[in-house]
Amino acid sequence: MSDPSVAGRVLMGDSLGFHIIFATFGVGIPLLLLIGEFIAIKTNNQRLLATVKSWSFIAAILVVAGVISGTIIGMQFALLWPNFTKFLSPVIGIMLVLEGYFFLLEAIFLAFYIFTWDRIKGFKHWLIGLPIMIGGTGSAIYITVVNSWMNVPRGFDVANGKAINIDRWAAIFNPAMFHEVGHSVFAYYLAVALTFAGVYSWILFRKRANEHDKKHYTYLVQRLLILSLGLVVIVMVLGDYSAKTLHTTEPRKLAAIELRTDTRAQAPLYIGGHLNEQTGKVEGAIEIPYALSILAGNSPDTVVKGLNEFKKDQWPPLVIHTIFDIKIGLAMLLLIIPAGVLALWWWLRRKQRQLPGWSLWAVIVAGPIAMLVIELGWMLTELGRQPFAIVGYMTTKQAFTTSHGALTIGYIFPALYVVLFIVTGTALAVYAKKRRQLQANIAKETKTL
Amino acid sequence: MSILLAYLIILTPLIAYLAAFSYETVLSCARLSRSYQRSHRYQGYAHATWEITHTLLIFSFTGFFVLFSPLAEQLSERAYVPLFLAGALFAIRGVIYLYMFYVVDDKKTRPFWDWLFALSHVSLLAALVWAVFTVVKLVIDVPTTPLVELLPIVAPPIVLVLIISAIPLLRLYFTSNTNKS
Repeated sequence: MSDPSVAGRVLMGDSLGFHIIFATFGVGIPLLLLIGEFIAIKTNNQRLLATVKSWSFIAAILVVAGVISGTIIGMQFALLWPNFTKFLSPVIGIMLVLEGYFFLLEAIFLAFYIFTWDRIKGFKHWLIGLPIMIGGTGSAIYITVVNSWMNVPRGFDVANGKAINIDRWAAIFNPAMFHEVGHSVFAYYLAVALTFAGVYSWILFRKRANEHDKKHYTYLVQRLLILSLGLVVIVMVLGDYSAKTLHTTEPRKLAAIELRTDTRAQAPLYIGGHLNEQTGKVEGAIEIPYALSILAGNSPDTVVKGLNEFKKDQWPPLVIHTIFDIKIGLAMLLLIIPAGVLALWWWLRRKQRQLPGWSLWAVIVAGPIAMLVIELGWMLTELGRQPFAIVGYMTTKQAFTTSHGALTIGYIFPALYVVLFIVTGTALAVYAKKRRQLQANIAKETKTL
Repeated sequence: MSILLAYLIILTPLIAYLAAFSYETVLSCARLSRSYQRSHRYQGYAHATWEITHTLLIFSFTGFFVLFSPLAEQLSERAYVPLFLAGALFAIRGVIYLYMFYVVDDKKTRPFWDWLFALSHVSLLAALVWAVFTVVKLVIDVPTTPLVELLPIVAPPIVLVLIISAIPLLRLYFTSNTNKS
């Protein structure tokens, strides 16, 4: 690659792509722990309590992996993007430090939570789970605030290349903060709920569980799908809010996402297709009249800025249009699958029939789809900001290190991430197998659902 | 005073981490001794919850690169080898840990993996010490003032986190730490 900063972006993208999977579980599992343990205590459901206990051990394995990938990300961040770090730190670097506090809180209380399963009972134990949730979600919020500030930087002036007159509150509560934080955090919850539903659907699909286990796993899949359905509605509402906020705060990104070449009211929405740069026309797309204007401002008369308002060398890569279409298509599946399977379940229950295998498969693939949607969402955010690292103030090239040695050595990390990913996955599979056996024994003793 | 506090925020978790990791290193090496294997402690390593001590390293590192961000360019040019080496070894040690304690049956004797595990600890400790010395030398060579204006926001939560964490930490580490969960 002729431009080292592109290689640096690829390296960083690889690392973040892996880390986001571990981070998603770090944010989402604590929510399931809280909900699951609460229901188990309230209903005196020992079987569910044992299941929640197993989730906490899964969280521990994922925290081990997350700590590794998080440490490497931190190093890459500082060493590959020193100019960015230097510019960012006085303004919003504080959020990175506070993120560390929350991660520490999450890790400490997760350890305590696991350690006290057999020592502290009832709601006292449930309360120990609360800081895990606060820590996990808090660290995700803080890191996403930094990203939102990179997209819509506020709270400073610039003199001689340095940030002055810093207003940290304005930087933190930048206009992109609420939609980015809300949309991503609820998407993490959703992805984890669907992944867990998928795992139990897989067990049901393989038909290896006895009648009692089957009843328990069915109960879990149903509840997780109900939770997912609620979460996906929230994510979609926040997604709509994101589109409206992009219209006012990041029009360059919105224009690239929607292939809007010229500024106009009554702007149509394009699904699929590509921009023919010679003719300036969008080709091969399905056109929905007025839809973009309505999406951006709830009215067909909303004027949407086009790419013509921006210098061509400041256009984000237009591949983000395709990424967005795929993301939205897959996100729709995340609404259809839980809603469809729950409806089917309700309908079949009246006829005393079991769910067909294909519907279980739909739930099994929903988790990976949700993860893919998260990955695509972050690609969209990051590519949509290009060529800037901090929009309007610092390009990605300017942010990159002049020490190319750091980049060369850095290539070892994607390989390590692959190994880490495989080993973590295997560890989880081995643990799940052992745990199922243990739970089956508990079931024999308790006979409660 | 403020500058001293900035150093304390970075050095305290770092020193605590190095101490905690040294303990893990000693245990990983002890696994190689025959008498240790013969004893009931063969499976012994730090309790799985001990893994949370690694967050101290992240905390210290993040604190450094934010509070000492004026040094970012020099850090990138002069300290990348030990830091990336430490990062790579950190990942390798973590992978071996997951493999040994969560993938394979940890009751069996596996000299190859035990050796590798101990080696990963010793080399990571050495790389961390190298990285710390390189960074300390950089701080001495290139006099810089940390971003002390961030301290009024960074420092108070430490007290809060310490208070919140004190009870579980005490409870955790006054309990047996010879077996994983």
